[in-house]
Amino acid sequence: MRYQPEWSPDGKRIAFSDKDGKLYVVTLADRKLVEIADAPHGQIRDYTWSPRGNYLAFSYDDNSNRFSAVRIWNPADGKVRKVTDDMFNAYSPTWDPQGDYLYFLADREFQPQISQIEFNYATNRQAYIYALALRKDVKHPFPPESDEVTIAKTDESPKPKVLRPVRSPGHPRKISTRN
Amino acid sequence: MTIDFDGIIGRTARVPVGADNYGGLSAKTGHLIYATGSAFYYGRAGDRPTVLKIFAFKDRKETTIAEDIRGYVLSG
Repeated sequence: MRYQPEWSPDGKRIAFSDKDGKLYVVTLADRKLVEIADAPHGQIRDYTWSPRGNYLAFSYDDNSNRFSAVRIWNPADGKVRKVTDDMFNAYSPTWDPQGDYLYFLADREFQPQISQIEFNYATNRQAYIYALALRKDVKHPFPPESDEVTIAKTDESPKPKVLRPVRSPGHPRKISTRN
Repeated sequence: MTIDFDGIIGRTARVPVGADNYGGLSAKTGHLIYATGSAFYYGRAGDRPTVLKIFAFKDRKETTIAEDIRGYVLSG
């Protein structure tokens, strides 16, 4: 049973997975089939090609805490590299169209709901969205924003106040009866 | 497009939106599009509908596109 064929944007390769948790890529030019990953638990279904088709991102777990990690396959050297650590469940990678960031979801919030029937936790709202800068020259996506304000300069010696009658906008005006 | 794998884990930044149940994350230039929804309950519907949202990097704000959705597909 095979799933979900995904063409690379350059049209050179197709990625697909199978029921046994394996991820494959077939290269069209030489019809060569390469096994990219073999997930020990479950299946790999969130694979996605980079905008130019030269990398494939996906996630699966291969450790005892069953937290999945995001990985990137590089066809140039045939290696798969983990780009998130094993301490948090990370999944659903998606590429920035400019190729500067890889976005993903990760369960890193631990303020649980407490059960009313017995004492237990429910971590039922755990995920945040993350941005991974793919190169060292890529700027931080959310640099600190300055909240500095400029105080407009006023005259050192305030002018003496002249009291004038103030008419409020809603004040009824006298209606002249003269023509 | 190239990737510097050296020290890549340390270049992770959190997108400034709240913790939630996210799904369907996709990226367009200057924006992230995703759905938020209820946690799973046994024997009853979720406590809130699934909502499609868009986050703009320019002003770091998220906006609701549609409420009570079942899915979405982007054009090319």
